[in-house]
Amino acid sequence: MMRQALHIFKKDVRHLWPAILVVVTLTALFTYLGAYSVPAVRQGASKLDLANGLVLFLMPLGWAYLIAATVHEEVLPGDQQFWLTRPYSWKSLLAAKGLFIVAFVNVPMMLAACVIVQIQGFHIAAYWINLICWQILLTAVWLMPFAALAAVTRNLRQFFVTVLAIAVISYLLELWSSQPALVRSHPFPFYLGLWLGAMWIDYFIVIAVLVTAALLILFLQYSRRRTTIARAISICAVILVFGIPQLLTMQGITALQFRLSKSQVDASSLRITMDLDRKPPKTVSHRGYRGTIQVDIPVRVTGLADGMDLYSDRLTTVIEGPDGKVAQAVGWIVHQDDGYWQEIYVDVPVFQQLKGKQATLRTSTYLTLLGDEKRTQVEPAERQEVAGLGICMRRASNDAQEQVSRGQRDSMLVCFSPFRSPSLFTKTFFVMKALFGNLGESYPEIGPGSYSPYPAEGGISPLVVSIQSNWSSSEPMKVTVATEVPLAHARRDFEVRGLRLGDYAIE
Amino acid sequence: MNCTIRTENLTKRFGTVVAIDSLDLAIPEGAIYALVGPNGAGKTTALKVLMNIFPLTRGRAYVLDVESARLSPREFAQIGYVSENQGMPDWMTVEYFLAYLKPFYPGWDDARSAELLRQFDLPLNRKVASLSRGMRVKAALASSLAYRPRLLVLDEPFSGLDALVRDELIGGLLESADGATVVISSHDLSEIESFASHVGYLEHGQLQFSEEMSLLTNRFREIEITLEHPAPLPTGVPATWLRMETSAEVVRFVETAYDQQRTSAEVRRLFGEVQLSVNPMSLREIFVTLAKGGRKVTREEK
Repeated sequence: MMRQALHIFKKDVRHLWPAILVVVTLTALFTYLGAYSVPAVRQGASKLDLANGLVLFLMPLGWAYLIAATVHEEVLPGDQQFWLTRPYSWKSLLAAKGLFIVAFVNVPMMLAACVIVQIQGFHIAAYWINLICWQILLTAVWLMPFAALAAVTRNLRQFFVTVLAIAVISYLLELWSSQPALVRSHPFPFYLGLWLGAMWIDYFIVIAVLVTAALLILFLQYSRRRTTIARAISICAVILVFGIPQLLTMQGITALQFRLSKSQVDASSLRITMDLDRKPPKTVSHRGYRGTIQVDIPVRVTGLADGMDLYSDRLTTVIEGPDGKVAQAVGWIVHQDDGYWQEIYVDVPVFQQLKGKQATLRTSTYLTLLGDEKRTQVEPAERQEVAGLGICMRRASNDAQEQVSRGQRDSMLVCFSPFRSPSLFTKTFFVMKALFGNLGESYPEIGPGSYSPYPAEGGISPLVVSIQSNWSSSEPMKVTVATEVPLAHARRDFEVRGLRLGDYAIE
Repeated sequence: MNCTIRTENLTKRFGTVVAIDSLDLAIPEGAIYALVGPNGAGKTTALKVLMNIFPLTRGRAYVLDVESARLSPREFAQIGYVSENQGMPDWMTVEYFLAYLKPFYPGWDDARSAELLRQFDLPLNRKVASLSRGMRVKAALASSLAYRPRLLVLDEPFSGLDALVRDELIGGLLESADGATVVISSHDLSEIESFASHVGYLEHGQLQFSEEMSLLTNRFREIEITLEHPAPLPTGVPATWLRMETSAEVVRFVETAYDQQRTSAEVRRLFGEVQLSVNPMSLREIFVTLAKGGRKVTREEK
C-alpha cells in the first residue's frame, strides 16, 4: 500500500511544486514574522505587525489551495476520470493525499511553531505535548475540513465558490443573529470578551462535528465514491457548525464544565447567605446594562479559606412576587473592599412592579474558587516571564511624533503563552506613578483563565494572547499582573425571603 | 462457456429515468463484443456500471468473475478501459503518463509499450493536453494494452476520428488484443462490422438481442419477390418478416430468421410460385431494419 501511496505522492509533488513552493515560502514568512513581531494587533502597529496579520490571513488560503489541488489530482465526483478504472487502492490514494498534507503543511507548520515559540522566549522542549496537540487541532479545524470539501467538489473553482458561500452564510448569520446564544445568554456582552472559562466546550463540540463529518466524507468518497451522500453530510455539518453556537447557552456549558471539573480543594463548607448587617452602597460605578436596574444585595461568604478568592462564572436569580409571579434576573457576585455583593440586573418593568413589595429571591450561582495569588510588576520595554501565564511585555506605540503633539503616550501590555490560553486567572492593575499612595490600586482588568483540559487550541498562530491592553497617558504607569489558580468549582443555591428590591436598587 | 462479463437483471436508474432495464448479458471469454445501439440507448451507462464507475440500482453484474461493485485493484490490473470522453492528466507528457502507470500493473511489458508507442507514432515529449483527439485515444489505448489486459472495454473509442486514424487504431487493437476479451460500444456500425465476433443491440436501455455476428448476418436477408400481377399483401405473414412493402409487382421484406428451405416454403405458401431474390444485409442495414421495425426480434422467435 505504501509503495503505491509514495508513487502517487511523488506524482503530486512533481505536478504541484509551484504551489508547494508558494505555501512553504508563506510558512517561512509566517515563521519570521511570528518570531519577530508582537503577537497582537495594537494601535500604531508596525509594518511587521501588519504583515504578520496579512500572513495569518493568507496561510489558510494557501493550505486550502494546496489541499484542494492535491485532492483534485484524482477528482472523486464524476465518471470520466482516467484513474477510476486503473488499479488504484483507495487506501493508498488516501494515504498519498495525507502524506502530501503532512509533508507540506503539518511539518512546515511544526517547524515554524518550534522556531516562533523558541525565539519568542519559551523553551520548545517543554511544550512538545502542546505542539503535538496543536498540530492535531490544526489538522482537525483547518486541514481535514479543506480535504473533505475538496473530496466533494470537482475543481478548484467549485471548491473556492463553496468556501466563499460558507463565508457569506457565516457573515449573514452573524448579521441576522447579531450574537450567538452563548453571548446573548450572558448578562453583559462586554464581559464575555474577558470570559474564556468554559467556552472551550463550545469550541470542542464544533471541532468534534467537523472531524466526524470530515472523516465520514473522506471515508465515503475514497472507499465508495458516494458523492451525493457525502455532500449531504457536508451540508449537515455546515448547519451544525453554525447552529451549535446558536443553541448552546452559558447556563448549559457552565453546568457541563462544573460536572467535568475536579477540585483541588474541598469546597463543601462554602456557604452564601444574605448579609443583613450591611446596607447597599449609595454610590457605585454603574456598569450600565440597558433596560435593567442594578440591584446590589450584600451577601456573606463563609467557608472560604484565607487567601482564597471567589469568581462568579454565572448567576441566575428567580424573583417571585407576593402574587406568585416569577421573573428572572442575571448577574454575578463581586468582591468589594467592604465584602461580597450579589449584583443582579432586573428588567425595568419587573423592577417597577416589585420594587415596593416583599419578594423571594432564589439564586443559583456557579463559582470558581481561586488561590495562590502571585503578583508581577511589568516594567516598560522589557519582556518578562510571568509564571503560569507566559511572557508579558510593555511596548510604546511607534508613532512617537504624533503622540508628542497630543501630549499623551500610547502604550500597550501584551501577555502571551504558547499553544493555549493559560488556566490561571489574571488581574491587571494600572496605576499612574504620580498617584501612588493616594488611590492605592485601580480597579483591575480581570482575565479569567481557560478551563480547557487540552494542551492546545486550534489557532493558526502557536502563540495565544491572554492579556492585551492599550492605554494613553501623559504620566508613567505602574502595571502589575496578578495571577490566581482556579482550585475548585462549586454551585451554590440560596434563598432570600421578604426582600424589597427598591431598598437595594442602584438607580 | 466461460464468460468474462455476465449480468443478471441489471438495472440502472438515474432518479426516475431508467437508463438500463433488466439487462441480461453474457460475453464469452476471448470475444470481441460490439455493444451497439443509437445514441442514448444506455451503452455507456452499461459499461460504466460494469466498471463500477456507477453503482447499479438492481440486479447483478460480474466482471472477471467478481461482482462489479467489488472490483479491486487486482481486477483492474487486468482490465483496460478507454472511453470517448475520458479525462486524462493533461499536464503529463506521454512518456511520463506511461511511466506513471507502469508500477500499477504487475504485467506491464516494456517491450510491448515501446512497440505500441512506435505503432501509434506517439510523441513522447508532448503533453497530453496538446495532443489531438486521435492521439489522446491512441495514448489511452497504448496505456491500456501495454500490460496485456484480459479484458479491454472501449466506449465509443473511434467517435469523431477520421477514417485513417480509426483504421490505425483498429489495426493496432486487433494486433495487440492477443486473446483478450474486447467489449466495444459504438453507434457507428460500419466501424465494428469488420472485426466484432459478437454483437448486442441495446435500445432504450433494453437489450434487443445478443449473439454471434456470423449467426446474426446469416439470419437476416432482404427478400424481393416479383409477382406476375400486382396483388394486395396477403394475411398471415410470419412475425419474422419485417418492413414489408409492395410496389406494383414487386414485394420486399426483411427476413429476420432466414432459412433457405423454410423461407422459400413460406413464400410459396403465401404468393405461389414466384421469382425470389435473396440478398445478404450489412450490419447497418440490419440495425436500420430493427430500429424502423421497432420491435424485438430474437432468434427464439424463429
